[in-house]
This record gives sequence, C-alpha cells and structure tokens, in this order.
Amino acid sequence: MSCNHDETLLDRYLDGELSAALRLRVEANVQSCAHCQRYVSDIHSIRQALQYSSARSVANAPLDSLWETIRMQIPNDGEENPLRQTPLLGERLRRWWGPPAMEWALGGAVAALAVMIGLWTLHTPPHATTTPDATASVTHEFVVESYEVSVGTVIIDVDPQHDMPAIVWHFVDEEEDHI
Amino acid sequence: MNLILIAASLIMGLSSDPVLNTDSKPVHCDIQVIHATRGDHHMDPKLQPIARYLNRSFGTRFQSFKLMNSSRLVLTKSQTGQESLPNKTTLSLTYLGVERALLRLDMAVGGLKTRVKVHDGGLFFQAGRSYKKGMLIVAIRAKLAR
Repeated sequence: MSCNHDETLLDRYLDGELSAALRLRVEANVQSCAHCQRYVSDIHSIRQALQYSSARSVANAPLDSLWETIRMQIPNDGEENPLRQTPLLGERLRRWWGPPAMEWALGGAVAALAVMIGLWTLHTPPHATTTPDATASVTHEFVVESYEVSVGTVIIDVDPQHDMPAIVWHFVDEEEDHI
Repeated sequence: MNLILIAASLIMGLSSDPVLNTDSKPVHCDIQVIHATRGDHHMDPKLQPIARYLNRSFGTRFQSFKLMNSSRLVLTKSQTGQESLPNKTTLSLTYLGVERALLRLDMAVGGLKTRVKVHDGGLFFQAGRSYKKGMLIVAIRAKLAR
C-alpha cells in the first residue's frame, strides 16, 4: 500500500471517526509506514500529556468556593433571586420588625422618645450638692432682675465668671464707718 | 405590640419625671448669718465650705468670720419664708419658680427689696449692714429639692 502521509486521515483515526473498514486499512498503513507510525505516536503522547495536565488542574482547583464565587457574581436586580440563600439585610429587618404598620408605629415611638430625652436634657438644672468639696464646682450665676431700696445704697457685685458668689451690698449712711 | 407598649411606657415615664416639672418642687434656701470683724484671723470651722469665698470677697476688710446662725427655709412656689437677723431686721425670701434653669427669688431685708435669679445650688451674699464693730454677712444658697 502506497502512503501519502495523510495527517488529516490519521487525526480522524485517532479521534475514532473512521468506519471500521477504513480504520483497519489505516491501522495496517501505520504498521508499515514509519512516518505515519511516528505521527500517531507523537499525537498520542501529546494527548496523554494534555489529559494528565487537565486532570491535575481539576484536582487542585478550589471547587469548594466555586459556588460562592458564582453566587457573588449573579447580578442583584432587586427581584427575588431563588439562588440567593442568605436574605438581604433589608429583608431580614422587615422580617424582624413585622408588617409596615408596625414599622411606622415603632419609628414614631423612637422619634418621640428622642424628643423627650432632648427636652429632658435641656430642662434638667445642673446638679448641686452641699458638700464642701463640691462647692467649688458649682457655678454661682446670678442675675438681678430688679431692686428698690428705701434707705441707703445698693451695690451689686457680680462675678462674670460665676466662680465667685455675687454680693448684694446694702449700705446705710450712718453705718458705713466699718467700711 | 409589646415593643410599642414598652416605648409608650418609657415616654410616659420620662414625661412624668419630676425633673421636668421643677416648678412643682420646693426650693431649699440654706441661710448662714455671719459676723465679720477686723482683728485676728479666725474662720469658724462651720464656715469652712465657704471660707474661700469669704476670704476672697471680704478678706481685705475683715479677718474674723463667725457663724452666728444657720437655718434652712423650704419654700414652694410663691411661698415666703423669713429669718430674723441679729441686727433686729428680718430677711424674707419668696420663691418665684424656675426660669431657664435659674431659681427666681424675691429677697427683702432692712429696707432693700430685690428680685434675683440664682443658679440651682449657687451661693450669693447679702452684706453691708453694721453689727457690733463689724458687719453682718448673710450667705444664701438656693437649690431645688431632690
């Protein structure tokens, strides 16, 4: 049998695409033709090497995280996603708070509570104690709204820093000898 | 529903807090009548809590400070309390309520009438009148009852 080294035919042979009769003829040719025999051997070796390499890559692939990676890449279009196993934060909050009416009621209650706390803070006078050690920390803010005097002189002595008590002086003329 | 009830209870509890209704609370006016004189340095031990203020305010003229009397007037809003002073005059205090965290008081003593506002827990002095070779100092501390 003459051989024209038809590599396409040899490829189809290696791929198992030939009919039984043609496969027998090619096998006989490969046995007798050194060129075709070397070609078939080379291609077979290459294919084996590729198969081994692929199998090793698959074996070492991090398949455990494959699904998680895929799931993260699924776009979130706002619709219910059957593939999503973990509910979104908003969904979880809605489940926890209950129906929308309950959300509004609780929101109003929290807002009212915040307002009440604010008012309470504004209207709470600073605490004071009578212990000697606490005296220095008490502010002595003092304001005179009005005064009137039937005898003598009035002097209001106010410390603008409020760290000293104010003095309401009332002097009567005939008594001023001690000043 | 339980959460709503809890929130409502908190709001009601805060709104009924007595701190919010300070006008309904009485004010305590602690009054100390002090005789200040020249001479040897002396500070009555009972005056130690306010000794710093006495020395800074009156120390250039007087060196001796003796506590003659101390008392407390508990006044509700619009109520007047009186305290007799050693110089035969009378100190009158009327509590007028709370305004912007300041306690409003009317004070009258020996021909002087004045309306003042003082910080809750704050101290002020009324002074100037002669007494036994010295001067009477009235220390008044007003604070809301807790």
